[in-house]
Amino acid sequence: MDNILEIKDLHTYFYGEDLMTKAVEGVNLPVRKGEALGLVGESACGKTVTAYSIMRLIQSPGKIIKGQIIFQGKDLLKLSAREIQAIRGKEISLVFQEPLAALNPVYTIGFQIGEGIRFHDREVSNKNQKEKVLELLKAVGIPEPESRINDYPHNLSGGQAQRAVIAMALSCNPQLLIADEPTTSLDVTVQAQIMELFLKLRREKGFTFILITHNLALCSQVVDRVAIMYAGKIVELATTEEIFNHPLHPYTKALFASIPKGIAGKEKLETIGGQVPDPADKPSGCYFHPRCRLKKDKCLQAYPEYREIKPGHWVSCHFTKI
Amino acid sequence: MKKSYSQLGKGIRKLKKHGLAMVAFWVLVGLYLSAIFAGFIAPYHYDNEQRSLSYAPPTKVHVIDQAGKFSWPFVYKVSQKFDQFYNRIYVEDKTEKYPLRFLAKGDSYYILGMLKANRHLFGVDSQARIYFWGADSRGRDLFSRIFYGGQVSLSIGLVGVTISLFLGLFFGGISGYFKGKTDTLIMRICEIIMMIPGFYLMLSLRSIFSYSLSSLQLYFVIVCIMSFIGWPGLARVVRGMALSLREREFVLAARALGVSDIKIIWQHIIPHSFSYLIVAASLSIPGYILGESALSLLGLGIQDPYASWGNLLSESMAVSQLKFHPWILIPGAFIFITVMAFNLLGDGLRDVFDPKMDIGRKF
Repeated sequence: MDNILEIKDLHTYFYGEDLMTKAVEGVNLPVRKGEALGLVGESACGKTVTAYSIMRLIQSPGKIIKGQIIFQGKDLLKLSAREIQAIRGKEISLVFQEPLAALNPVYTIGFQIGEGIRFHDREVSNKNQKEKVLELLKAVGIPEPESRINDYPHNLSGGQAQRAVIAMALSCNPQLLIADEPTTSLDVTVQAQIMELFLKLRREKGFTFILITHNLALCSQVVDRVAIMYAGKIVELATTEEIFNHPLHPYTKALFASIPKGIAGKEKLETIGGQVPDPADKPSGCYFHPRCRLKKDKCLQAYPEYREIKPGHWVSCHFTKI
Repeated sequence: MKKSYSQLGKGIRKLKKHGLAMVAFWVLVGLYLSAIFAGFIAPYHYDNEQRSLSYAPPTKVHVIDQAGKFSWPFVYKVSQKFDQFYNRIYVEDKTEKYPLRFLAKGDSYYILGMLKANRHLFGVDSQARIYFWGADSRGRDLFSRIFYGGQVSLSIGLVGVTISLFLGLFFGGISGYFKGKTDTLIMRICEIIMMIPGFYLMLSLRSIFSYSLSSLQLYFVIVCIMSFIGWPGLARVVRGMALSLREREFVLAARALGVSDIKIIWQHIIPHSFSYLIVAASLSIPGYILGESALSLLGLGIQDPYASWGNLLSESMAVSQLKFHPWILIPGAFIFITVMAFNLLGDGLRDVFDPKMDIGRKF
């Protein structure tokens, strides 16, 4: 299968007053055309920075140090500001975590959903534009789009606002949709609805989908492959089925162990001891070793190579056995 | 169907309940209408002089004639005499009545530079003259000149503030949005301009231009000088707002949609500073009016025979003039009322649009 997007050795650093934060440190990630990929990890592990790097939205003091992001044969990191502008929204779109913050409170949602259409297709007439917006609102499941089109963001509930943001991201039929923790700020029932919406939209429009989340269970319903990220690096990549049945990296195993199961209150919830390392002060060797049960001397010295253990199953750990 | 209200619509409805601001608003509407229809309200053209009636006092309008009978308001013809101390006095010639006529024919004028007309709100037959608020040194009607002067003085504030706002929004928006070197450069330029005391900067800028300019050129020179002095203050505030707004997620969302930087500044950053700008603009208009008055008062602004409130006041710079002809201070009252009205309106707008000001009233 073709890769629509290929991230090679991406490094994105943030420069503070006197310390350097290595938010993303050598991420390699191929994304196949038409697939749904989950990018899973704890907070502050570099998931969002990876997404922003793809869109070239990293701003000072952040900087993409090296690497390549090949999208349909072009290296996005080498494009001019104008060229990347033409790609944002039209070819690659982003759904944000906080829908109400991502909507400008002074404009109606109809106006904002139409913004991308107007910008990328200057020929579009007012009438066509309105029809397109209505269609989008219907597609994302906002009831009575004719009356909601003139609503302001504060008139919407969180779930509806997220639907509007999704409509905004899909307005130009992008090839690739990146959703950055789209359900984190929503309550559980709405989370399931939004996930179902993504499934439905993918069936209808067939875009490639990257779902960034820290919720493994939620992610498993939607995605084909899962990439586990830890401290700025991908530690394991496999199909959803494979990773659920045969997780190899100790971090992945620990993550699965900490998914609540059984009847609430009857069982003690597993947790991963310790904390995510401070991105400005990462441990030597394998970044996971302070929290790892399998820790040996080797882990303190060298970062394990990221290698393909089984066809399509990549992992970076010194002690991986098939 | 449910209706959604914009922030602006809510603000306007709140403003309508703000008594003082509404009074100020209607005063300003009246003043601006009077400037637009100055030719109609004024009985004479601003340059219609009669030197034999220099500093004629306000003409008395009588309603009771010599016979002691009640009659339609009329005036007597006035002529200049000298008393035994050789002071100028004006005596009424009571032999003939000149009735006040409404919609009287007189000097022709243009409304908004297009509509030619010669009917005036009121007037008297041309043998007599009516000086509602007295005459100036050349026997021109002060009442007429005040309304013609209002055209200059009132419009300079609006035009000046518009130009300043535009410059302030543009440079402030760019400065705050792009940050870095652009920001440093623009802000240092602003600070240099703000560092020099405004009045002296105004005078020195005026001295760059020729002393003898046509009145239209002069008008634009003054507007440009005033806007040049006014924009840095606005730019700094807009910059501050842009700096904080650019970090908001909806700006990032717009960037992720591929919207260009200029469009983001224009569509997402500036509208958010709008409520502040409305207040700032209405509060800074008085500065422009006063600046123009100050220049004209010193004889550096609008030149005779054209009138502005400032140059009308320049006649009152000598105490002796004030003692004998106090009416030449009336233009000052107009400046006062206008400035006051703009300030009250600005205060009202701030109460309405600035949510932080609400707190005091809720408890």
